[in-house]
Amino acid sequence: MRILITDDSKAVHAFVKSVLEGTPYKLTHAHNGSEAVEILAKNAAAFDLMLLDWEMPILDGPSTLSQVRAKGITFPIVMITTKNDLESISHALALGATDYVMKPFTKDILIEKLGQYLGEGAA
Amino acid sequence: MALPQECLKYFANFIEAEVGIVYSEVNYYQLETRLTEIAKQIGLPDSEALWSQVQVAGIKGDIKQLVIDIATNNETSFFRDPNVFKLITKLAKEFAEQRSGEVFKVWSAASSTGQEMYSLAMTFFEIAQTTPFSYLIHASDISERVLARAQAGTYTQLEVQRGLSAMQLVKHFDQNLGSGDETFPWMVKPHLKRGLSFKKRNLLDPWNDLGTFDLILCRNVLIYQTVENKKKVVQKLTEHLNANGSIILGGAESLIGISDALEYVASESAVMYRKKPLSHVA
Repeated sequence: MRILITDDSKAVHAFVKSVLEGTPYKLTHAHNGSEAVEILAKNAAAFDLMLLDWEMPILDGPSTLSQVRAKGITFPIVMITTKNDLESISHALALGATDYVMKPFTKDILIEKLGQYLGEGAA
Repeated sequence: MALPQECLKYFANFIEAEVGIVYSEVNYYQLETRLTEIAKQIGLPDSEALWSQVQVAGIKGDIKQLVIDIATNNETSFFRDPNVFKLITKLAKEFAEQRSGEVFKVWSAASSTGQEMYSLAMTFFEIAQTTPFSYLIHASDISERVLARAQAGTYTQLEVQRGLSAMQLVKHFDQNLGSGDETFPWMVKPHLKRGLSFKKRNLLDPWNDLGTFDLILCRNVLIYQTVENKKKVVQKLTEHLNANGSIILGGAESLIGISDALEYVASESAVMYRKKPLSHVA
């Protein structure tokens, strides 16, 4: 199973990579929404879940979310963002986000969310 | 180790007498770490200073409450062990179907900071949206501090991310940004507080003001108790169960050799025992 992580922070990529070491899940890295949309245009079926940042250069999280859902892609999309206000969370859900992780988050929280959508193998 | 063994034994004996939790000598290092935390909380430099104070005044007042707090395990999260909540949903729906017009009474016997009881409230609130269903939830804990948190229904950003989906967060929580306590910016919405009651209770003390319940959750409490105390607590819990009422324990707990007034209910979801009819009790 493969996760597409889309975030402009190298630290977040490194953290998620370290959390998933030793699990059956593989990561593909995108550093802004535009890269993610390109990757998905080539082979969306290869992915089981996307972790998506909100604020990114070129194409931000909400615009990426809208474009991905508009293409009929239905896999779970979990926002990972510092935007921790109720309005932003509601907005993301309305655009088609499946769930939401507020930064800073812990390894346990990420594992729990992934386990919920990808099965116990993530734990 | 800064504190001599006999001093730690004094605290361990106090904890066992007060709440029934046994600290064996191999865990004294853990006890000392926690005593050091207490010392710092009340403005003392270390556990030795705490011991000096206890020798003069005994374990009383704030120190007593803090010692009880550290001894009890307040580890919790929303919907901790989701399978348990699937089972509770099933029990509540059956109750709503079979006992229409009655109130489903539930007791969260070691409620800690309230995640368990608000998970129950969310579960029951959802059922009541589609089915006529009334419920009351009573929460108790031995620690005043955690019970006050439960009653306030306020949580940190990390706490609301343990076990809750974003959908549940938006539906059942308000956010207090900038104007309230920055540590606990999330608070349960008023609809989750309907039908709740709170009281500090030591499960080893008598409870004269408590009614009976259809379901008692007492998860990961007995595991810390001696066999004698387990029997005492379970007997009292059983007295507060309605006919056919159930007790849900933690996943690693069992009542084998502890009670013959309860029968094990086979379930893949949870460790559950049901009150036997009186005629079946040996």
